Amino acid sequence: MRTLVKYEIEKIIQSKSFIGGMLVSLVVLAGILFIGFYYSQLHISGEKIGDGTELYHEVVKESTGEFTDQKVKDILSVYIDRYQSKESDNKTFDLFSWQIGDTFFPKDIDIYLTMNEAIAQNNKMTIDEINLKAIEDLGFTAFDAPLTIGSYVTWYDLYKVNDQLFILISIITILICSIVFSSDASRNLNQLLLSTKFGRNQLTVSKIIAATCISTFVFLFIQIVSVVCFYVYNSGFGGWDISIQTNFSLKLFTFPVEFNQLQVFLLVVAFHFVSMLSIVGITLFVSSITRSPFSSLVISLGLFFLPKALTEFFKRGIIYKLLNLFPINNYSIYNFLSLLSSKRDFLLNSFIQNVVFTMIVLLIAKVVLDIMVYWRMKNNQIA
Amino acid sequence: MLLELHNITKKYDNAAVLHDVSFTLKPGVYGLLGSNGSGKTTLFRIICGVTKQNTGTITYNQRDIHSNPDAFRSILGFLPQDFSYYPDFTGMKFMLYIAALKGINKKIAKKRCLELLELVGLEDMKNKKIRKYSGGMKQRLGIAQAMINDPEVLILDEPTVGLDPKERVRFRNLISSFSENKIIILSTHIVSDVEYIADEILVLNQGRLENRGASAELVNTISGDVWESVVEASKLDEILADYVISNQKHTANGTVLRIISKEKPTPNAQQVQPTLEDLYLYYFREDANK
Repeated sequence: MRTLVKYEIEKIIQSKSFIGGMLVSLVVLAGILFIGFYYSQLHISGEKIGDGTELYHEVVKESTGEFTDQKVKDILSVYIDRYQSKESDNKTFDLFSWQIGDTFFPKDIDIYLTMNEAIAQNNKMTIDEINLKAIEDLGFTAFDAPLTIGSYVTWYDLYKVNDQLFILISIITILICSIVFSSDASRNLNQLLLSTKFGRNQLTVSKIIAATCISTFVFLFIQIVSVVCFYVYNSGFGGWDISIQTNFSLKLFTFPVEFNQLQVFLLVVAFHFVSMLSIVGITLFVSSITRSPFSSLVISLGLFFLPKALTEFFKRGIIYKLLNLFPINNYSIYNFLSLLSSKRDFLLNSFIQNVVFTMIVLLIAKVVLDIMVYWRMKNNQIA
Repeated sequence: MLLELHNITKKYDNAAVLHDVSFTLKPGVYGLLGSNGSGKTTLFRIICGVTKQNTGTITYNQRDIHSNPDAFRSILGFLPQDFSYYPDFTGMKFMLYIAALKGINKKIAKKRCLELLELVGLEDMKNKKIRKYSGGMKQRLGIAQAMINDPEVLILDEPTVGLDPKERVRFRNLISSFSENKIIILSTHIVSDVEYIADEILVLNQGRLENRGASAELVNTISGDVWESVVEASKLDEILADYVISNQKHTANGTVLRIISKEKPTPNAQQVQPTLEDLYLYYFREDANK
């Protein structure tokens, strides 16, 4: 069996569509990482590239701690002081504080206009003149331990990159798996393979293992590259222990579970991995029933994106909830956290229940589809 | 060692491709003769278990091959028609891959693959990618892979396609040397290949087994039906339209035609000794006329 798996892996990685697909994917990966980290809003928000990140780390250092009304006031006090400061050239955008201000500044007056008028009159607006909203009024979820605030912008960038990488990984997975069975069919080789001793049993299992292994390797490779790039971009993993509710880019203040940003990231990676396994299962099944790699690729891509299109027609009810089980509808971290914690959008009552339920459904789908592929190949008849 | 087919019928969309085919094969070389669409490939696929018949059974040594298909596949070698190899595999790797699929021990497989590649004259090409192989080389590789497991039943669908005359001679010798205690069935359009190596010929016409026997026996069945006649240019078109012509040769006296016909086709026609090629045209005259 191991020998057959080795041959099947070789067959996949020697195929032109795999080599071409990997080359294109490397370019796309580089593009996603470049735009997501190096060319992020934070990194380019200064006179020179990197000034924004430098300022961000300074601000984060001063601002990290327990999330209280006083902490918010202190952060915004420093922010408006810096904004009105004559020494400051005001050219480096403080994204961290701006987003907190966007949440806590009252909406009835334009704080920035007021500050600009004060500057014009050689005056200075103070934090006490602003009627900041209270944490309680904004509905932040409270737990036994207080929420913590700290570096969140870079983590949000990691989440965005991770969302885009999932689409890339899914397309690579579909590309890899679409050729596994259909390329033998298109070569008319099944008549030979199926007449051999292991052609209807071990060969099918080997193909499934090979496709799953390569997809897993690609998944891990891309995740590791992404994490390394994030480590460089964020100058470490600072902010990992910050509450997900205080990620002001994500704006999920009422998220009901006590998770920090690292826990959310790891949970999403695990969720994406299970989603990828289900994509492997679906694509291998499609590959086993089609006679050309191209039609297998097109059908699999169609099936991958179809649930997204269907949510445009079904916006509520059980069908909508079932459509949300598909990876394309829950892959983004925002959707993952918001949909799975919402009773209206998902099937069960709590986030954890929904995560476990969805993962089980996706794993069952993978196993059932693999069994169907095995069964089909076992009884396959050449017309 | 006995391979028996009992009343095999196969239909595609209600159109029967094989009609109630029955025969028994003992060790030996059998040539399956039939025109395109006569059901040869379907029959081979059914024997190999790649396609299922609608009715009928196949037994090997009195046991239904479907009751223990893995056991039958272990003693089966098959060279199908019209398939593509993995172009990035070397010849040796492809052989080892098929050996793994046939469940042959790794060490034995390597030795056996080397032997077979040498036997089919591919030892110098064994480490070259298959994309660099010529049509004949691919065909020889196909023959070699079919013999990896030293099969008791060897089925070769059009094995001589793409082989030059020298390679065909080599193939015939290879099959002859290999045929002891084996059932070998091969189909080919090149009648002379069958004539030389087949102990017995099976004639499959429009899905029916029309006849079977040794080459000489079958040829004798049409003795008296093959004629040679010198025809003037003015009558040539008429004769070509009315009769099955197995050969046409231009001479100074006119065109010499070899005609297959129950009646004397021209007043000057002379009966000649039939060949297997004549037999082929006798059975498949409708296809020949097309």
